[in-house]
Amino acid sequence: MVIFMSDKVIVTLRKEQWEAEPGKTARQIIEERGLNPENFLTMINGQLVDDSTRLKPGDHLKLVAVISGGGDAS
Amino acid sequence: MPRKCRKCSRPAVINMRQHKLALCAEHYPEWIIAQTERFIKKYHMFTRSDRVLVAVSGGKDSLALWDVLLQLEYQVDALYLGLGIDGAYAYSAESRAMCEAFAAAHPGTTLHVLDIQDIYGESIPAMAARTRRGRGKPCSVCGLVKRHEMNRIAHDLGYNVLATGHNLDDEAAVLFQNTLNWQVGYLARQAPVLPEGNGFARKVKPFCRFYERETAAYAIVRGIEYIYDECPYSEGATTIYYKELLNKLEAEKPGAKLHFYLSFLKARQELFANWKEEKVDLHPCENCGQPTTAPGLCSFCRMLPAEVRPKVNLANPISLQFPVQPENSAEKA
Repeated sequence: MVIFMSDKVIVTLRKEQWEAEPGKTARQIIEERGLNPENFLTMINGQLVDDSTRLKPGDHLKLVAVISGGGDAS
Repeated sequence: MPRKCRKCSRPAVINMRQHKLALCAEHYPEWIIAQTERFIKKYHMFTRSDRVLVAVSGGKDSLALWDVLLQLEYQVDALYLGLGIDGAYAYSAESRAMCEAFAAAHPGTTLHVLDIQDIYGESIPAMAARTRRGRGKPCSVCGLVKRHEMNRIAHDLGYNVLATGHNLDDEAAVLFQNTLNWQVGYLARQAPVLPEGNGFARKVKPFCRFYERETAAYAIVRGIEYIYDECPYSEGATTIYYKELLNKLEAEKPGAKLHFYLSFLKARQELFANWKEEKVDLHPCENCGQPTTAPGLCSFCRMLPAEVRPKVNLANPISLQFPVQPENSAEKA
C-alpha cells in the first residue's frame, strides 16, 4: 500500500474540508477563511491545541465549533 | 512557538485571553474544577448536604457539569428528558446515548430518564404542531415542558437543587436580548441562582462564568463524548445570532463578554435592590399541584389533551444505575 503524504494542511469543519498552507498558525488559518477564532477550538491530529500552534505539512487541523443554542430565552 | 502552560511550561491546550491565562491538558481541568467550586460558594448555590439534580442533554455543557460536580464529590445525579426530536439524524436518540454512556462510565451516580412521548403520547414537535404555543417553532413548547418536568421530577425524587449547564455565552446572549428589548422583569430575575420556594426547586448555573469554548475544551480534554450536532430546530435561532455578534466583539476586545455579564450582576444589585415584582398569587395547579399564576390548570397541563392529564402525577422516570443490576439478582443469589 502506498500512502501519499500531503504537503498541505488538511482542514475540516463539520462536513467541509479544504487545504491550507503549512507554516501558519491555526488562528491564521481560521482568520484567512473569514471565520472568527472565538467560535472554535482547534485540534491537530486529534489533539486539542492552542490556536497559536503552527501547522506542519500533512497535519490535519480540525475546527470544533463551540456555539450552541436555540430554545426560548426566558 | 505555541503558547505554554502558565503552571508547567508544557504546550497549552487553551488560551483564555480574558484572563491572560494559557493552560495545558493537565492543569486546565484542575482550573475548571477549582473555579466551579469557587463560583458555587461565591453565589451560595449549594453545599454537600444538598441533593443536586443536573439536567443533561447529551451536550458539552451539561455533561461537563455533571463530571465536575462528581469530581467535587457533591451529591449529584442527572435527569435526561427524551424530547422525540429527530430531524435529519436521530438527535434525541443520539443525545440519550451520550448521557447513558457517561453514566455507564461513572458508577455510583444515577441517570433518570423520562421520555415525553412514552408518557404523554406525543413528541415535542407533535405537541408544537397541535398547539397554538408551538406555532412556527417548537422551542417555546420545549421550554415549557422542560421547566415543568424538571421541577416536578426534582420535587418527586427529593432533589432540592436543579443545576443546568448554562455558560457565560448563554447568559450574555440572553442578557443582550433582554436589554435590547428592555425586558425589565426578565433582567430582574437573571442570576446565577434562583432561590427555591412556592413549590419551585432552587435553580443554579455553576458554569455561568465560563465561556462556551472553555466548557467544550474541558469535555474534550476529559474525553467526554458529547453530541456535536445541534438540535435541528436551533438553526437560525436568535440566541445563536447574538452569540456570534458578541464573539465578534470578543475577538476585538478580549474579556468584553465577561465584563458585560459581571457588570450586569453588579449593577443588578443596585438597579433591582428595591424591585418588587408585581405581586402574583401562586396557586397549585388543579391537575399536577405545581405552582401556577392562574387559578385552575397550569400552562403545561392546559397544553395536554384532557385524557392525558391524569398521567402527569404518575409519570416517574426510569432510573438507570450502572452497571445495570439484573432483575431479581438477590433472589438468584
